[in-house]
Amino acid sequence: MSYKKLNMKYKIIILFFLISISKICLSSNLLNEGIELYNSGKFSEARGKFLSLNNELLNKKLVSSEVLYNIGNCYFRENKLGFARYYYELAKLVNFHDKDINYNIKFIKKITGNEAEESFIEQISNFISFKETLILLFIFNILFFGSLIFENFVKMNILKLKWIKRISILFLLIFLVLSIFKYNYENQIKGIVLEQTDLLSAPEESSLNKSVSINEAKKVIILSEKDNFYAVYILQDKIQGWIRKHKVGKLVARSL
Amino acid sequence: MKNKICFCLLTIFLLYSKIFADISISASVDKNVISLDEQLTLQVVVSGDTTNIPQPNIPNLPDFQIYSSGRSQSISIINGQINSSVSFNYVLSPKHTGEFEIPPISVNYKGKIYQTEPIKIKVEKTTSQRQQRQIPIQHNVYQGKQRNIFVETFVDKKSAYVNEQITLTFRFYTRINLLSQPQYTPPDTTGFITEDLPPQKNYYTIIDGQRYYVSEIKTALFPATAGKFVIGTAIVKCVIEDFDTDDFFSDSFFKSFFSSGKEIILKSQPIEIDVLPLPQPQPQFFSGNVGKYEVEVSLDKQKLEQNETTFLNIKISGVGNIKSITMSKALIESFLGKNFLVYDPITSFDIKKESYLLKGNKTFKVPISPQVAGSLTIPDIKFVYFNPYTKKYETAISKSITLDVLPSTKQTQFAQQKIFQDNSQSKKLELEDIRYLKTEIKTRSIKSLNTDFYLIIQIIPILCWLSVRTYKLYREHRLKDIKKYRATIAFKIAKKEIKKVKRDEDFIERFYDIVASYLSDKIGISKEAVNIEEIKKFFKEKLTEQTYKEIISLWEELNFYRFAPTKAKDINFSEWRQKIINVLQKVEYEI
Repeated sequence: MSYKKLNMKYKIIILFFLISISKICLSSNLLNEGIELYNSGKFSEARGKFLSLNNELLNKKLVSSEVLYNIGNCYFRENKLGFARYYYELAKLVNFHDKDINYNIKFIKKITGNEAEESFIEQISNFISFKETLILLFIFNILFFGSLIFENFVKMNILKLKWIKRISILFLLIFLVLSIFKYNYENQIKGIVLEQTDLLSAPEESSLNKSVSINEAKKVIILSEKDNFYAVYILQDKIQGWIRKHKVGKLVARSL
Repeated sequence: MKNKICFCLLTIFLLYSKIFADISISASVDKNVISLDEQLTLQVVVSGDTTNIPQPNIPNLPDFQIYSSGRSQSISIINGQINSSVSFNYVLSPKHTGEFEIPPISVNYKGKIYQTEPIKIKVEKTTSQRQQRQIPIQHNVYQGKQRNIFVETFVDKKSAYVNEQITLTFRFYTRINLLSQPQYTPPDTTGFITEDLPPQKNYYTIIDGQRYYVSEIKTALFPATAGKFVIGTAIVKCVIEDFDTDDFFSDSFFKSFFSSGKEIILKSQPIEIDVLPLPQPQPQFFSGNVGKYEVEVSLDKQKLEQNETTFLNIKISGVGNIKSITMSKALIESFLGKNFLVYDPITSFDIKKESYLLKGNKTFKVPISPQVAGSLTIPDIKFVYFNPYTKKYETAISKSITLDVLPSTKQTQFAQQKIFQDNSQSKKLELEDIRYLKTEIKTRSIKSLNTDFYLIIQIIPILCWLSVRTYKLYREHRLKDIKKYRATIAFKIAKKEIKKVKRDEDFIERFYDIVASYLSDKIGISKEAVNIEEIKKFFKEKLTEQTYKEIISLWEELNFYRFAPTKAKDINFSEWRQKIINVLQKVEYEI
């Protein structure tokens, strides 16, 4: 009986192992097929493969910046710069420091004339992600408050402790300001204009409401929404208006 | 049985109604008297309970030039019955003056001919008064007692070259209150490429002594081909108050109670445009661009290695249909010659609509790769366009650029970029534009992107510090009354010390010390000052008789064994330890 049970256990383990191996193979197959199609200039088909791979990962509650980046590349080759930038920005949400992702975003911004989207402070604070800022803030938090606690209990070299306190409070303040700034920035819901569209003065489908034509790949802040429209602020052009929802790709981790 | 009969009757009825589906035709014109320079709109409406409405046969009208201005269809299904109505619109332009008749317009449906009544038209000579631009009389305009609301469309020119901008202006005039947001349907602009010219303008104007509120929309139209085209009618639907101004109840008080609103449809006149063909012969490099342009050329890098790639930026700026500007790879290749490999350009444009003119620039980023080393020149790039103001073909020429090409240090200096197939050499080249695909993937959990955890943990060090600080303040507060503090912690210290005492030590002396310390803390005197009198004096009133006796006895016994060590060897260590703890506990409890 116990032998049979043991056998069954092994069977289940082997089955699980085989299923996971087959899934990994399927994933790597989709990736390789996508790369081959891309290399042979079949960008739309390559995109299909990468999107399938992305969906497969999402079903497992996983995400890969590399897959999102590859989807962006396919869109770029299809001359759909709005979609391309949208996927690069999603990839950046996952992997903030990836050089290729950042280069491609910069490249699209350059060719679409959207280089002045970010303020000076945003540009200089771009060396670090919000999560990293919070981790560093936590470290300096521990150092500063730790030194304060230590002061009460341990009679160590007071001079050393003073220096630790001074340095940690300095960095604590720097990262606190940076965190507040980044928190406000992260809390703004941003989006990318996927296709050229009209910026409307009211959330209604009427030619009387048309204000300006907006090019693809522009970054916008989503201020509110009503029916099928988003109220947006266009960072590059510093103007506000309404855009049809399906023309904007929302940039939030939840949208992955 | 009854049901079957009903079903049969219903089927027969439906078949009958299908077979004998009927249609009707009617024709109307917007005005029966026009001047020679005016146009009239002929509307033929064919309706019936079928979806296949036939096209009407327009008879020969030798006295008019006739243009189709489109059709509109409406279908309604009520209780399964289809009713369809198609409106065919024509613009008629008279050739000479006189009285004419539009003969019956017929339609052939299932072998049966349906026709309209003839319509009489009178064409008068153009009078000088009529030649002045007036507010056009509207078709189907709500007039009321006065012209309170109307629309008009007009263009800045009625004759233009192919791809030359024509500005169409639509104006909506009103001097009455609207009960709903007006719904605007732009005119049919078949044959034109359209571009909105924002912003919409709203202002007041005075016409014939009446003040109107005007909403103005402008649109840029670019004719696609030569010929005669008609800009259709612009339509505005709105709801107005249906009170007559002379009515007794027109008082605003009554209006607010009784006004229910009335929907009206306003239509503008169609406009005929004569699109002229571009003059022949067309020069070399001309690709249909009309306007006034300049060309600027720049390079991303002017010093590079052989086979390395850089971007040649060709920026064409000016006034005209910017979006339609083309610059093909073949054309660029013909300018650059064989010294460069040229790839498909990436285009971007920036359009401005200042003063209702379409202007801006279109940039072609062309990846190029020099094939030979040395000092190479990007020759003049010529952009040929037709200038409608001078009515001549003109050429914008860029300045030539020199670039230094160093011999290649690597066999193939191609970055990991887009892969192109070079047909002539059948080799794969990769360019510096976007970076290449990722060939390996790393996955991470979507949950890991959440930063809430990192926000929450920030409070931990602060909480720790606050706890320590509170505890410290609490201790400091207690240490302020040292006598009380000593008394409070006396038993805790004594108990701890008793547990530390070992059998092999001079345990009686240690027990004595501990008890003396305890009593000194309780009484609030020094350890050396503790004696039987002090103990009696302090504890007499505070303890029960039993406990009082026990503490006195314990003190005396400890003193006795302290000075008689030989006797102390006989006593049980554990029993004594427990006895001291019990007595001190009782004292602690009772005090």
